[in-house]
Amino acid sequence: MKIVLKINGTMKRYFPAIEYQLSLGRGATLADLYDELANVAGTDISPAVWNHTKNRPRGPVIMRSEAGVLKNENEPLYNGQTLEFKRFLVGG
Amino acid sequence: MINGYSGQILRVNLSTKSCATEPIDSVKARKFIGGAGYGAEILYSELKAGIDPLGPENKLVFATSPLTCNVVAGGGSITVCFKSPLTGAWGESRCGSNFGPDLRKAGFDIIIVEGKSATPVYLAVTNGEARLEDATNLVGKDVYEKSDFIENAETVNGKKPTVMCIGQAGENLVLFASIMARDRAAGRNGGGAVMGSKNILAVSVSGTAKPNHASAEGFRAATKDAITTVKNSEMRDGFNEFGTIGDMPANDEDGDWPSKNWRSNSWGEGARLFDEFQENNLVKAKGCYSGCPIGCARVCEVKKGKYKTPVHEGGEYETISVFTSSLLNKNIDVAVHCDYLCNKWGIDTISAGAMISFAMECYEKGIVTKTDVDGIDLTWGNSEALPLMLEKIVFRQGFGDILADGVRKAAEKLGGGSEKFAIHVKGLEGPAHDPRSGKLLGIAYGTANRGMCHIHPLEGMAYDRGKMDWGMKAHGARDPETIDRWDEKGKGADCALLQRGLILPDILSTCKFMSYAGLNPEHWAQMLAETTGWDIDAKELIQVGERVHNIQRLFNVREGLGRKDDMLPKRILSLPEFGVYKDKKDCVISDYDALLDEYYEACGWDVETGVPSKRKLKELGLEDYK
Repeated sequence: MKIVLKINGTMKRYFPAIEYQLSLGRGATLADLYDELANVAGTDISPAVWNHTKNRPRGPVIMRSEAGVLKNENEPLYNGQTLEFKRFLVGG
Repeated sequence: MINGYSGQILRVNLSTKSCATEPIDSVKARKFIGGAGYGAEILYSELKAGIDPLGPENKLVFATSPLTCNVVAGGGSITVCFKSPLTGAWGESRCGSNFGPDLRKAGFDIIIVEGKSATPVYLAVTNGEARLEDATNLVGKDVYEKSDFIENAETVNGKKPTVMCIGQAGENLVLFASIMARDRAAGRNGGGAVMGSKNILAVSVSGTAKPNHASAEGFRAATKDAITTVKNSEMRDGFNEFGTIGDMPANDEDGDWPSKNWRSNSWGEGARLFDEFQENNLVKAKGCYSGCPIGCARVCEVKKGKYKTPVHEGGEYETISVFTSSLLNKNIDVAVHCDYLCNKWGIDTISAGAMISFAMECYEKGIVTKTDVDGIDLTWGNSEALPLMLEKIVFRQGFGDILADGVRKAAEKLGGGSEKFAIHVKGLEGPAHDPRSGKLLGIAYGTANRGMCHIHPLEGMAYDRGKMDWGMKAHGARDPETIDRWDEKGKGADCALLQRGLILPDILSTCKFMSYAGLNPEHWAQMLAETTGWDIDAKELIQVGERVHNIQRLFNVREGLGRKDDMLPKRILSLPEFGVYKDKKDCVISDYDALLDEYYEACGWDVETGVPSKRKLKELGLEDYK
């Protein structure tokens, strides 16, 4: 399946590109997407938002689809889905 | 009685040991509302210029507002106002806890503490009545011990009161001692030292009173709308899941993480330290008061080893940052341990970390030797030194006695050029955000009335770098998405406008983080209108914000402060010495004077002196405050 991942808002600062076309197998989940994103973008993603050891987001980042925020890594994705990756500055 | 208010001020004179009540003034209430607003009016009117902040003439004002209650998003807050012993200027500090709501349940909106007790006492306020109790047995006890004792002593019908108290730091008049509600702190500006100077060790509040709402139904609907807004905010999830420390990796990357006493704005260890905290120290998320819809507080611990530390609330971004990056300390357990010690002894974590950072640079430069600092090795990154130095400061032992007076006075005493790396504004030590990450933060640091604090300038950092408009675009703010963080032109005017809107949580004695999570001036105005019955809207509320900012400024002007006190330390107007921004000239403010000129003009203040103009004061109804 094909997924479009858009890097939005301040998250753009931490990624080498602002959009990714990712190819995933049938029945792929959010976990598969993270793994593929690590393959595609690799170490060019800033450690500010990406744990390169675990190949997972780090800190207050949000993956959103038109249906809402995706949190569960087992969440199934579907062909043609567009996802938005954002980061929030939380202050303090 | 005014709707929305409890209607009473409790005035406690420690010299005469008398407690009296007086009504809330309805005119002042509309003009200044509460919190740091009504508190500023009281202190401006009742204090004389030039008084000793640690003398009996100083006053402590514990202030709430009609929105200080558990059902209001952020309403679990108390604002404490006083003349700061650290800065000699306007002092205020907010603490998240049930103390504010419980003070209102006890029947009062405000407590004014004045004079000085001959012997140690604590104040107990229950259901409209107040009394002073002997506290001789609490002298020398830490925050937890004092809280335990008073909670037990003042329990009524099985209900414990909420207690705010000082620890040993306050008793020893450490100028950056905090006032604690267990692990939550009114940390900045040295309110704990003011309490210590007055011989009042604690205040406990409890009761069952409820204020009248002009429209109970309208208030319920407005508070529900605000809570829903916060709960639906994506930002809320980030705060809840990761706390304020969640920003550490990105701040390091973005040049917003002061390192090695501000010699750089990045270090490269932020992500690793954050991961370690999440994996090894974090226990759970928690709200700092009952009913908080965010719950950004962290409960943390050190499970084992030399720095084994009990479960406590801590792990805030500022605290962990000053005890790691500022000192080049790579041991997160030591940072968490120091956090706990600061809470236990009642000392501001930010200033404490800043003082040790300053001391390490003095040591590096040979201004002090190992003998001068009581045999402690103050080499950068020596984590073992941190708890030892903290203890020296709190108990004013040896070199700690010098550090206990804050960085400005310590530099004056030590000399040797140390004033060049004494990082403060108006005497308040800098926190853990760096204006070399965005120019608006610089002007916000310089002009904040209480000095170089971590709360008031937040709007600058979040607007410039986080692209948050805080709901102020509707009130004339530029769209932050259209502004580059390295631009300077226009940032002075942006700052002036944002300050008026983002001072509102302090005036309303609520939590600023609710504004991160979507509450805008319209939300605050709606809730206030429904409880008080006033026809107040966001526009009027923002003008109250401007009025309060100005009366606090007048307080400082009366103390002799002006343009010279709005300057930033040269070090943070210089290129970082190391890190990813060391060659990035754009990150440094090129013309701070021009920024300040623009800011003063936007405020309606004299550009040469930084004093509010007569015209501005008249416009704000402050012409009688001279």
